[in-house]
Formats: sequence, C-alpha cells, structure tokens
Amino acid sequence: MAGGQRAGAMSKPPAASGNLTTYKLVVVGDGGVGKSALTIQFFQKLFVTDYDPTIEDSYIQHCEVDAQWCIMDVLDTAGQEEFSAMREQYMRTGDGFLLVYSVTDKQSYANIQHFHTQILRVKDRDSYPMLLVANKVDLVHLRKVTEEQGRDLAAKLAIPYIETSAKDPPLNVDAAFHEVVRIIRTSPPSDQDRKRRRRRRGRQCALM
Amino acid sequence: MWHSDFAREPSCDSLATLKLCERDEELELAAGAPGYSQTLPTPRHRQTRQALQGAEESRHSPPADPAQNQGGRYGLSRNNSRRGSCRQSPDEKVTTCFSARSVTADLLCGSLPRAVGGGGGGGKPAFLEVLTIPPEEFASQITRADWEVFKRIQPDELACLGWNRRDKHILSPNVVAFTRRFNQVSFWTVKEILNVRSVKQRAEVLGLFIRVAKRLQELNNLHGQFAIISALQTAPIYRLQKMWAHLPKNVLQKFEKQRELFLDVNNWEKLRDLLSRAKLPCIPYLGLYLTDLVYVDMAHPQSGGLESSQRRNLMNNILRTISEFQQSDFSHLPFNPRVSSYLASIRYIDELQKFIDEDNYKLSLQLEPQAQPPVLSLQLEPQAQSPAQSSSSRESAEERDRVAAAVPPSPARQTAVQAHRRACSLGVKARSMSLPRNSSRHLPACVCGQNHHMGPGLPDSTARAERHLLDDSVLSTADGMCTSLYLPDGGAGGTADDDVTATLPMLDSEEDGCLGMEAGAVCTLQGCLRRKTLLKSGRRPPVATWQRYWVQLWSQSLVYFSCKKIKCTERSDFKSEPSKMHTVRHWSVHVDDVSWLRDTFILQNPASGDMYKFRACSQTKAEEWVKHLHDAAVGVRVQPLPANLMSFE
Repeated sequence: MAGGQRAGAMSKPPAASGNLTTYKLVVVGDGGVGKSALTIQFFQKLFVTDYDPTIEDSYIQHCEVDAQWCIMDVLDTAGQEEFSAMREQYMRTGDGFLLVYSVTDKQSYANIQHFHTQILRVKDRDSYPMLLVANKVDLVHLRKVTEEQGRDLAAKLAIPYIETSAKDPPLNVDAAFHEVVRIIRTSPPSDQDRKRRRRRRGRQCALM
Repeated sequence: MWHSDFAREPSCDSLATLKLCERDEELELAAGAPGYSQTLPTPRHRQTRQALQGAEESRHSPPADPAQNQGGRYGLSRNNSRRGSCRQSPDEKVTTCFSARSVTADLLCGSLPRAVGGGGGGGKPAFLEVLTIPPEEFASQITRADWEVFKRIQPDELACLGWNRRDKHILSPNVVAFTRRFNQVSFWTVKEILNVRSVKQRAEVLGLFIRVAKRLQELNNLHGQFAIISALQTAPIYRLQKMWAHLPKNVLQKFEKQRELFLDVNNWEKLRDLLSRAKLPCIPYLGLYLTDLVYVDMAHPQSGGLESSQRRNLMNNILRTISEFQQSDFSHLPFNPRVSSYLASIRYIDELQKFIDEDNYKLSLQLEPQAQPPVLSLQLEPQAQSPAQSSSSRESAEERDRVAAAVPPSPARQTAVQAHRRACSLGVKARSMSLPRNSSRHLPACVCGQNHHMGPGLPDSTARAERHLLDDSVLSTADGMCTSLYLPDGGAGGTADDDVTATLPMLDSEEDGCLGMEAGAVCTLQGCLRRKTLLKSGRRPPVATWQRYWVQLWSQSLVYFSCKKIKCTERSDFKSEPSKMHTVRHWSVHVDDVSWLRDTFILQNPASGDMYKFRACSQTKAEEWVKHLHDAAVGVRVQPLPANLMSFE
C-alpha cells in the first residue's frame, strides 16, 4: 500500500480537533468515471475488510495539508448520477469541487462543462474552488482524452488540472483532495460562505 | 437524432398539455385562444406581453364554450379558484391566466411549427389549476405512481449495478424508471413554479409544493418528498428571493425542516435514521441505497467470480432493506383519475435535462433578474426612440478608437457580461447542439449583450458573438435579434430609421433586466467630473455637495460611475458598474460664467426642473463636455458608423 503518500493522514491530528476547519469537498462527474474509487482510495478503506459505506463517518477524514490540520468531509454521490434533480442541492453544500472525468470516456470529458456551469450557478459566483481531475490514467491503451485536451479544458474553465489513478499504486489521489483544500484556502470566500462554514446547519436560504 | 426533433416534447408534454377532464366543472376553461395564437410568431419578449394581453382580454369576454376553445392555451390557468373565486383584480388576472405554454414551449421550441405545439391537436384543452387541488391529492397520486414503479424493482437490477451502465434499460429497467419518477416530479415542481408570473402567486404555488412534500412525508414516500425538496433547491427556484420572501413563516419553517431531513451531513445521517425507523408502508429514497451499493462494490470487488463474505453481507443487507420496503402497500390511497392522469401527462425526457435546466434558469432570470448594479433601480425618463445623436461625426476616427479602446467596462458591457455568464454561457453551447434556430429568442439577455460588443474597438467579442450557434456562420442582424427584442415602447423604430447609429441606453422591462443599448452605440466622451445638484424637480436639495463621478456620454445618455476611493481621478478609481444614468435629450447645457476658472458648466432639464452643476478638471475639458453634451442634447445627426451592424473583421 502506498502508505508513503499518506504520511499526513497517518499521523494523529492535534488534540483540539474541535477547532479545525471542515472543508466540504464534493466529487462530481458522470457515472463510471471512478469517483467512488477515488474517494475510497482516499479514505484508505479499499482493503479494509469491514468497510461499511453506510455508517456516519465513512466520508470524514482528518488531514494535514501544508502543515495545517483540517477535516475533510467528502461527498460523493456515485450511483445517483441519474437523479439529476438533486444534484444542485448537494452542490450548494460544497466548499470545493472535484470535477472528475475518465480519460477513457470522451463523453464524461464533454460533460464537465455542464457541471462547471451548474456549480457556478448554484453558488451564484463567477468562480469557485474547483479542480479538474482526469481519472483512470493508468489505462494508457484505452485513453481517449489526451493530457493536452484536459489541460485545454482546465484553462478554459480557469481551474487547475490533475491526472489521477485510483488503481494500486494510486496516483495523485491524495494530492487531488489536498489540492482542492489548497484552492479553497487561497480563494477568499465570500462572506456568505464564511458564515456558512461556521454553522452549516443553522444556515438558511440567504434569502430571508 | 436531432434534438430539435424531440425538443418539443418536454414542454408540450409537460404540465402544459393537459388534456384531462374537459368536462370537469372545477376546471376553468379560459378563452385565451386568441392571445395564444397571436403570440407565436412574435419574439418572446413581445409575445409575453401579447399573451398577457390576450389573457386579459379573454377575461372580459364571455366564458368560452370548451368546444370553441380550439388551439387554445395549453397551460394551467392559475386563478385563485382554490377559493372558488373569480373576482380578481385585472392585474392578477393577467398573471394568473398567463399561459404556461407560451413560456415553456416557446423557450424550448419557439420556432417549431405551431401545429405540433398543440399536443392535443385541435382538441379541447383543459386546465388543471394546481392551486385548486388539495396537497393531499397530489401526494397520494404521486405516491401511487411511485409505488407502482418501486414495487417492480428486482434485486438483480440492483445487484448487477446496471443502472449506470450504457445498457441500463436492459439491466435495470425499473431502477431507471423509478429514477425517472424522481426527476419527473422535480421537473414538474420547477415548471409549475416558474410558470407563474406574479410573485405572490408564485409563492402560493411554492407553498403548495411544500405542503405536498409534507404530505408525502406523512405518507412515508420519501422518494417523492425528496424530489420536491430537491426541486425547490435547484438554482432557478432557490434564487427567487422575492418569491421566498412572500412565503408565510410557518410554511417556510415546514420547508426548512424537510430540507434538513435531506441534508447530506454525516453521510445522510437524518435520512438514514428516519429510514431505519420507518414503518411500512414506505417508499425510501432509492438513491441512497444506490450509492451504498456502488461503494460496497468498489470496496469489496468481486475477484474472479468469487464473492467475499463481506461483500455478500453488505449487499444482501441493502437488498433486504429495499425488498422489505417493497412490501409496502399503498392501495388504500384513493385513486383520483383526474389528478393522476394530469400527473401522468407530464412527460420528462432525461436526455433533455441539460436543456431543460438551461431554459428553467433563463426563465428564472426573467422572473427575477440577477442582482444588477444599481443601474437597475434608477429612475429613467421614458424615452422615445429618436434618431440618435452623437458627435462622433466630428470626432476623428482615431479619437473614437481611443475612446472606445479606453472604455473600461461600459455600463452596457458590464451588464451584458454578467448576464452572459450565468444566463447564456452554456446556453449557447447547449443550444448549438440542438436548437440553433431559436437562439434569437432563447438568449435575450445574451443577444442584448452581444450587440453591445459590436462597437468599434471590440472586434474580438464581436466576432465571437455574432456567429451562428450551430454552424458558426456569421449572423446578420437582419433578423432583428436585438432591435425588435430590445426596443421597448414597441419600437423597432431604431432600425426603421436606418441612419440611427445608436439609441439611448435604457432599461428594459423588468423581466429582461438588461441595458438595452442599441448596436453601434459609442461612448462619445468620458472623464472624471464633479457634480452638484442645484435643483431637483425644481427644488433646491437640502444638502448639495460635490460628488465625483466618472461620467460617460453614450450617444444621448450620461452614465455615472461612483468612486471607490476618496481621491479619484483615473478610471480605475471608479467602480466598474454604473450607478446612475439619464438622458440628456432636450436638456440644455451652458458654461457657468460665474466661476472664474470657467471649468464648470450647468446641465439642466427644463422639463423636469433638474439642474446640475459639473466641474471638469480644466477649462478645455469643460468646453469639450459642453460641446458634446450640447450636440447630444439637441440631437445632431451623425453619419451611421460603418461598424454599426457588421463589424466582423
């Protein structure tokens, strides 16, 4: 197992974890692009025999990114892609997004633009912390979307680009999630967001 | 397959084409046929008005015989007849009778032949007013329909994880159908709300859906409930602040409670909890289990046909839970043929979801335009179309270029760009795949914006904007994209006078919320000015101070940008979005002789009794302003700019 990659996750978070910032990361992308594989790989539970996706903290992890501890709460709705109506609801809750496509699937690449627009709309912003993730790069012989195309798209959307593979040995999986945290940290949140991150539950439509 | 071939479907098949129970007394058959039929050929902007007028007229005409109501409105008329009342203010009538058909269908497929649009052909359309139906009715009929599909789902469909694959219709037909139910209910919710023109009534419909969702929860149909709750949180609905503000507090609380239930916090903790305690009959939200199955499959992969015991256990747990829920029986819910056939008539096509989203968002932007720079709240003098004057004829071409190039985001461009991003960016893309012909109607804001780019000095945006969406061919403006859409006061007058180079920037009707500046408008002069109000409506203001503005003269309009800092001299010191704007047509301007520096001038509107004193940084500047303002005010004719309509490099 690529434990070296996860040195951060292995060491213990500081005791006062109550003060840690929680980042809600949302993984979006078409069905079958390997979102769940990425997420599982990130949570290191691929080979943990008692992994149960239904329990409460399955998708929460303490991480150290750039020597700063934080809590990552990852939402991945793999399997629910066709419930298109509920997408915008959970997009609303995200602080940062991984826009995942598979390099073996042109269509998933083409659909990224739509997700991007949808996020900006839901957030009502001109830009938002996002990362373009080209997944399944291990499948070299099946690759249909080149790195150049991926970078072009990223440039067009004005978001960073990363290539990943969840297959063992994983490539850039942790890096991708950490990168989103970095992007969130460097992009100044709007007042609304700042409030929201503090008390996510008490938040109301911002309408009232 | 052409998307346009079936693009008609979602609209005309949606709530719009209800052909149910014509004989039902409760249904109010509105005689809106004339209004509707007139409307089709006109561009959307005007069509809306005509439809409204038609609807209004129809209210004054005697009740039409359903049989004569051919080709009438295929929409839901939204009267308040929930209260059995037809006594509404004329204003309300307009909004309430507004035909769903004319909005949705036109948005989606405005240019398709009308005959198709009927859906019901020459049949007798009937209207189901959602507000007349008690929420319980909707809840039970939705639940019955959901249950019909849910109970058919086979364990194999789930275990094979086939609902996401390409052959999902073969592998997991009922899972797909059940997912569709979810989307269909959401789609219906969004459409119904967006189809109401008046804010108040829209809030009522919103309230109705919140109640329906609540009833669904009481029936233990979480699938249906979540569909509605999601729909209310989609961007087109969620952003309608005015509508939400009209919602009674208790209803809002109801929504909040339900929303919390479906939050994904802690791995859908609340929803999981509720489901684990739920008693039969219950229809769960299937999506949750689908994700779990995907994760189990991923975490415990089948290796070489061998199933690990963990995988088997976890899979079986989920499958067992679902099959327990499938034991539910909802047959006790009374069947209401009217409501259920109405609900069944809502066709929803997954493949078109993207386009539906687009159109819904645009519609939403029309209902409540994007929070715009303060320009929107400005009061503007009603302006008639007039041959525009700008002094550009006297200006050397270089100077014009210099000015144009130096123009930081002009007011028009500002708004245009904003509108462009949210309303249109993807729309253009999406549309280009499917409904290119309708671009002019579909993208009003965009169209408006595009034309702003057409001034000289902005060649690249021009090139981008004026391409056909489908084949990239160059569009001519001859189809009246901008002009007919964006000259209020019924005036395509701007184009009729073909020596018009620019019309006054003006605010369009609320629903468009866009600065309508005609093609070719050029900023004649701009610079930092200080302004003091001497008279406002003939009265001396209590406090008159010098205010610094970046002022631009666009044809006959003066546009003001407030400063960002205390010391403002450069363009960058001022806000990029204009703060106010007014015409100078028929205003008078003269140098203020009192000041010994002669750097001030007076601008006054004899009609309204407004008088302002301006101070430029130097005498020459002041004189230049006076000269240009004078030209603009009296209306010096200018040669049409060659760059006006066709500035493709």
